[in-house]
Amino acid sequence: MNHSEQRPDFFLNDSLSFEQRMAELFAYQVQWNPVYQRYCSVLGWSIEHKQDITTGQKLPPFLPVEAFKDATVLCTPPASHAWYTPQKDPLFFQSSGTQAMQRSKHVVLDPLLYTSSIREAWSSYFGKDNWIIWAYTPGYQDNPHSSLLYMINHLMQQDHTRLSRYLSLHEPLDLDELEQLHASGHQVMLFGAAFGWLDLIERHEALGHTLKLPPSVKIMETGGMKTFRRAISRQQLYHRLIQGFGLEPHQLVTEYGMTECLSQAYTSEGMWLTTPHWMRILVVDPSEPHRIMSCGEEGRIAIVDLANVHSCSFLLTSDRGISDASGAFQVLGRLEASQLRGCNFLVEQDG
Amino acid sequence: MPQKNTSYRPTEPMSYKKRAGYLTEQVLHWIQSEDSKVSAAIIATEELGHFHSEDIHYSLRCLEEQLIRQDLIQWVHRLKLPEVPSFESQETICCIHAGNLPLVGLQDLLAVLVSGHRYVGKLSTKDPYLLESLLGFLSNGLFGDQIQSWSRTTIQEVFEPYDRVLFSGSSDSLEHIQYAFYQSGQATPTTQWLNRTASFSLYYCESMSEFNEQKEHLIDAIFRHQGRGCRSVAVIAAPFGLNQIADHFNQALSNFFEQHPGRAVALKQTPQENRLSPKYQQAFNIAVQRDSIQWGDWSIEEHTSTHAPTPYHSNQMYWLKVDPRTLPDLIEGYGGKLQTVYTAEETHLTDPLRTAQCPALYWKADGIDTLEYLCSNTIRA
Repeated sequence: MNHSEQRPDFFLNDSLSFEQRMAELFAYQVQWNPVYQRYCSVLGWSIEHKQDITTGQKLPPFLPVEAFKDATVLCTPPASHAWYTPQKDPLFFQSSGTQAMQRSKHVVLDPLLYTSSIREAWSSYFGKDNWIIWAYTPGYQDNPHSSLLYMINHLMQQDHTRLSRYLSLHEPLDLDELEQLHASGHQVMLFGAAFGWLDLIERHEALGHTLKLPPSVKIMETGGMKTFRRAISRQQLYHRLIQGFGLEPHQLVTEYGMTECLSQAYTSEGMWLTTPHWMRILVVDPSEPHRIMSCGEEGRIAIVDLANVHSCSFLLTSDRGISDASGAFQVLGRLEASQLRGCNFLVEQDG
Repeated sequence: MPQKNTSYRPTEPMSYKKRAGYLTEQVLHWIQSEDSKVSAAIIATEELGHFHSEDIHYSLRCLEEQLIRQDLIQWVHRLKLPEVPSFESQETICCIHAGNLPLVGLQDLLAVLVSGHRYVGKLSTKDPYLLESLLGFLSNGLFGDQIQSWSRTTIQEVFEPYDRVLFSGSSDSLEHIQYAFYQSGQATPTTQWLNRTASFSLYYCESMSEFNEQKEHLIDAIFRHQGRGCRSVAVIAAPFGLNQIADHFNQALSNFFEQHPGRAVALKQTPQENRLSPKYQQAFNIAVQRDSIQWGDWSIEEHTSTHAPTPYHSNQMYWLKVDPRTLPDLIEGYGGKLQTVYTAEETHLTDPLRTAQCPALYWKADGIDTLEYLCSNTIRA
């Protein structure tokens, strides 16, 4: 298999093994992505290693996602290349944050790669039936560079009932409308970040409402813990959302994605996330990311996202996680640098 | 149970200046005398292995210099404290000694004793011997009635809660300690906390020629105590880039590690949790075309001053190329995390680089004069 025979969206072709697809993308990116090429070169990797990847003997180096803050992570093949995509109408995604913060920038040359990834994963996890999308988030127009809002907007456009919308962030949920939609046989997915849902629960509790969302309604929790005003573990969050919205476990879905990725992982029930067939999550040694941790052993989350055709498919995050034997994983939080500068009397260590 | 000093004597009226003078003599005697058991404490600290032997001796030499210079007496003069102190009440002050450097928090102990208040000490298990030796020595003298107790145990019974706590560390660790203290009755809602949370310092270098003149001071400011002190330089700001000075910097590092081979080993032994190993760090810096210098486990990398990162790991430093006019914004951006700004010579806003690791005893941690804080209930004429 070589580039000239395959379209870039071949990552969706699961008649090819994951390793074959991964090797193809590695070969493309190590050749034509200058940032990734330099990274691999220092680590002693080149296109010569393609075969090792195809046979599953080795995994390519994982590029720290911080590269998306410090450089443009983009493949720039010549126009003669089969995968050459002119930079006519690229998508430009930027991570959230203030002006003072350095933000990740992801240039997506071919929007079809992103929308294909969104639709195929959605279909795989939630079926081909129509979903109404309600988003408890800022609107896409307010934040056109958010990859999450782009995804939500795209899913809303697929809704043939035209009942999808962005919810007001200052109002409680319209429970009557949700009941009516359920009664008329519709499915509703409520998108929102963790802190948004916790605020909404508190708003309803303040109004004396006991929430019990109808069975055809699901909550999609999209992360955002690191900006939350108070410390809460994922386990506490999970139980609070179940209890606060009166959900059955299968009604709560967690989504794991980021600006630097075009694919997302989802939970089906509980706290273990799984990935679509073109994405893989590994848990690696935080300091030596070529070393893969054993099942149940905590480490740093690394991602292989084959939809990231024109940027980098092999990413090293700053998230902590664990995985199990089936490849499912949990996100445990951020991999914070412990403060080793300055005084720090730690009760557990010092007294 | 904590050691309780039983040699209580009523406090004789003594001026701050006299107290500072006697304390100076006593601590000097502890350092210099053969019968003070300080040598045994040094050996025990070396054997514990948390500190480089050179740093232990350096800390004691520094203290000796500060005392010979009469820093404690100068401290009293600078604050214009009244001749004869008159408290609203004598307070019990708990000093928490973090253990990241030898004798860390000694300034707090000295300030409490000069102030006339009672001292309770929480010693770290990383640095138990030196302070313990000094406290034992002082307890048998004039300050015996002030030194109430000291212990290596955080959670313990107390006779009455502390009036004030002097803490240095991160806000995360502060939360844990406050919880432990409240649970055990060592603190109550009326206990006052003096919290110092700054963790690193910055050197502003005006020119490349200044860099060459200051490089020995700079190396000491960086590597003394393995970079763990809040007065250690972790950020260098300059109007020129790292690549313009890289050769000189590399030469200075080479000379330093040649003269102090144990330092490189000690750096390697400092855990750098959750940080990519040097080869991955280097690969990343080259990938994003960032100038950097790497020396084993230690590195300095250039970043933009508009997105200046906060240094956490003691083996990682940052170089910021800045327009001098934006330096105040940079300093303000770091907020309470930044302890001191150094320049070649002292200004009203900066300390001289050469004093980074051995400042005057009256230096203000987090901008707060500890003795002034402790004497805040003194009735002044």
